[in-house]
Parts: sequence; C-alpha cells; structure tokens
Amino acid sequence: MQTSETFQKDLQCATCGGQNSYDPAQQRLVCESCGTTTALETPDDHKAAEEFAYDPDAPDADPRSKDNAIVHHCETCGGDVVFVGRSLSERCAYCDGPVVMRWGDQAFQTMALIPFRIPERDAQKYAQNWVKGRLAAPGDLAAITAKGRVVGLYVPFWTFDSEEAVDYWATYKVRHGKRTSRRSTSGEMSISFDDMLVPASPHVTPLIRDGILHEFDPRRLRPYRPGYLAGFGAEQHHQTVAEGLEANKDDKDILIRNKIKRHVGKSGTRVTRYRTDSTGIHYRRILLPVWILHYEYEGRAKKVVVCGIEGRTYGERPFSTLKLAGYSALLTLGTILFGLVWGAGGLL
Amino acid sequence: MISDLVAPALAALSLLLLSSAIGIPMIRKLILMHEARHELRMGSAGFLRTMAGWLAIVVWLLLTWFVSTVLGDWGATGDLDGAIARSQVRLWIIIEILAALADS
Repeated sequence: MQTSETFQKDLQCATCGGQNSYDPAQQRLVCESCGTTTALETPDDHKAAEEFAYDPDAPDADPRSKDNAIVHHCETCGGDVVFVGRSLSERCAYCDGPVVMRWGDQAFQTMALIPFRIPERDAQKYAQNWVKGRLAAPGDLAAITAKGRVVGLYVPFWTFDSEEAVDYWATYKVRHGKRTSRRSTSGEMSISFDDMLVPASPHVTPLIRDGILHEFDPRRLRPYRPGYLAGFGAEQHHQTVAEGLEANKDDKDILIRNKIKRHVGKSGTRVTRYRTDSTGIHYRRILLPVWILHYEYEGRAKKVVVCGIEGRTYGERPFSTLKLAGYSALLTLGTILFGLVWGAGGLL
Repeated sequence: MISDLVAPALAALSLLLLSSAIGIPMIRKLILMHEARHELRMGSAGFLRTMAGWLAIVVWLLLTWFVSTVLGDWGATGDLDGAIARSQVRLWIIIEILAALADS
C-alpha cells in the first residue's frame, strides 16, 4: 500500500482538514468532521481492468510498493492487515486474534480494486440472516453471532486467464447384458479460463470465494487509490505470479477433470491422467471488498463473510449434534416404515 | 401372534437406533449439499468438492430400507430364513442401482 504524500489528499478533507473515510452507500469519500463528500472517479478508471501477460521464463518484474507500511500483524493466524488512515481495530480482521504493530515487508503493488458497495449495516444484516437460515444450527448460534460486528476488509485476489491444450486418457463403462467392462479412451480438447478468481490470502478459502463471488465483472474495477481504503483494512499482495498459479492448481485440476468427463460424455468415466499446456496466461493483482463477522463457538473461531460488492454471504457454521440426530432419526424412521410396509406386503 | 412380532419389532428398533447414529454425518453432508446448491456458484471447484460423496447418503438409505424390508417380511410371515431368501432379488436390484449411480 503506498501512502505517499500525493495520496494523503484522499485521506484529508479539502474543506476542513478532517479525516475522510470511504462511504460505500454514497460511493464517495465523506469527511467525518464536516460531512463534505469527494468523488474518487477519474477519466482513467476504465484502464483498471487491464490484464498483464505472464511469461514463466521471464524474471518476476512486478513492481513492489515503494514505502514500507505499518501493518497490524496477528499473533494468532499470522495475517497482516494495513489500515489507511486511522486504525479501526485492535483485533485481527481474519481471526479476531490480538495484533501487534510492525513494519511490513515490501509487498507487490495492487493493480486495481473494486470498492465497497455494501454498507456496514446491510452487511451486518446479511450475516445475521445467513446465520438464522442455517439448518440444524445450535439454538444459541444466532444470539452469539448477534454480539459480533462485521469488519470491512480488502482481500487480495488474482484473476487468471489461460488457454489450456489438454491431452487426456480416461476409461468408461460399457454394459454387455448383465456384465460391464471398462474401455479406455483418449483425446484432446482446449479449455479457456477467463477471469478465474484466486484468493491471494490464506484467510479466504476457495470455498468462501465460491460462496460470495458468483460473478466477477472487471468493469467494476477501479485503479488503486488509498481513498477507497479509507476506513477499511486491507491485506497486501505478497505472492509472486508463480505462487498464485500454484495456489490455483487444485481448483484448476478439479475443473479440468470435470470438463474432460463431459468431453468423454460416457457413463462411469474416470480420468486416468491428463497433460495440459497452458498458454496466454494473463493476470491481475486486485483487492476485493469483504465484510467479515467473527464469532467463537465452543472454543472454535469461525467467520461469516459478506461480499462487499453484492452482499452474497457464506461462511463457517457449527452443527447441533442433537438436531442432526433428530433429522437423521426422522429420515431413518420414514425409510424403515416404508421398508416394513414393502416387506410385509410381500412386494419384490 | 403378538409375541411373534416382538423380535422383529426389537430388530426394527435396533435398526432405527443404529441407522440414526450412522445417519448423523450423512444428514450433515446432506445439509452442506443443500446449502451448496443454493449458495455456491454452480460448477465452481467448491461446489464440485461439496457435491462429491453424495453416494454415501444413497447407500445409507438404501441399506436401511433393504434391512427393514426383511424385517417387515419377517414380521408378516414369522419366517426369518424365508424373508432373507426372498430378499435376494431386492439386494441384487439395490446393488445394480448403486452401481448405476456410481457410474453416473
């Protein structure tokens, strides 16, 4: 995060010199003292969606931020969060653990971000509604999470594009009357990945990403400006592109295997192995806004995450064993009654 | 006549307790799949991972149903050996269904 003097004007009100913070509802900076609002749009906003080509054979040339920022380092989960302007929390935004201030190492420059659109009160409501809608949740869960407060945070993400030339080998099942056998097949196909979102932080899991970010619209990206971060925490980009691609390997593998199965299109397809040649890799280092609600249940830290763009909510939740047992008993009872009647009736 | 039903009834009760206990993680999985269908992005890696393993739920329900058909037959005829013998066709159909589902 750069905090050079040219950016300081974003954080100070031009009218009274007070502290500015970004208001998601108005999509503008608002002075906390006099209420003056300032727009952050620039004529170059459309350039924020630009992608950068990656050459795996070339040395990593991504620019690093010029200034070392003071980060809030979590002693529990190791997360590093930067606050632009005043610090908002003495707890970690990811795990609610205690934080210490320290100089951060030189992070990579963020290329673009999508500003918050969902204000805190709405995010709080979405998080609470999500918790209330959980099946088989413990009875006291809603009351426990109601005590928590959402924290706004910009989380680092990658977007990756690539063209995959895939050679695959697979087997599928063939029926011969009552017998079945497996046949081998092989083939080639091409797959295009466009704007695959990959968390560049270990704190947002791919599962949470799939819950809160259904559609990614690069037209919403804005050039990085500290003003958008005023009033929120942000995690810095620390991964190299190669590390980002490596972090995406498991997700890509499951998606490629799924596409191969569809390409084969036969019953009982198993992908034995495949080989892929990735070309045309393009990427962006971006920040995406999330609201995180921390809570602890039976000594375990959990979080509910609300997308700061559209308000989609997903998270971690505990189950009530008693309720699970109740549902299980009901379903089992129904199945047993059906079976008893079937058997007693002398049906097949 | 009623005394003939005691053993099948106790067996059914045991089945209910055992299957309910086995079903606890299955219900948990079922709820996670239900949530994934409504909340995760269709076709995403997280969605595909959550949906994997659904066959275990079908195996649990089909086996519970199969054993209870034997108990129902036993309760109606009083002939456990005969009920087991008559269930062979059902068992074969269940295995066929599971094999087909595993391939799908």
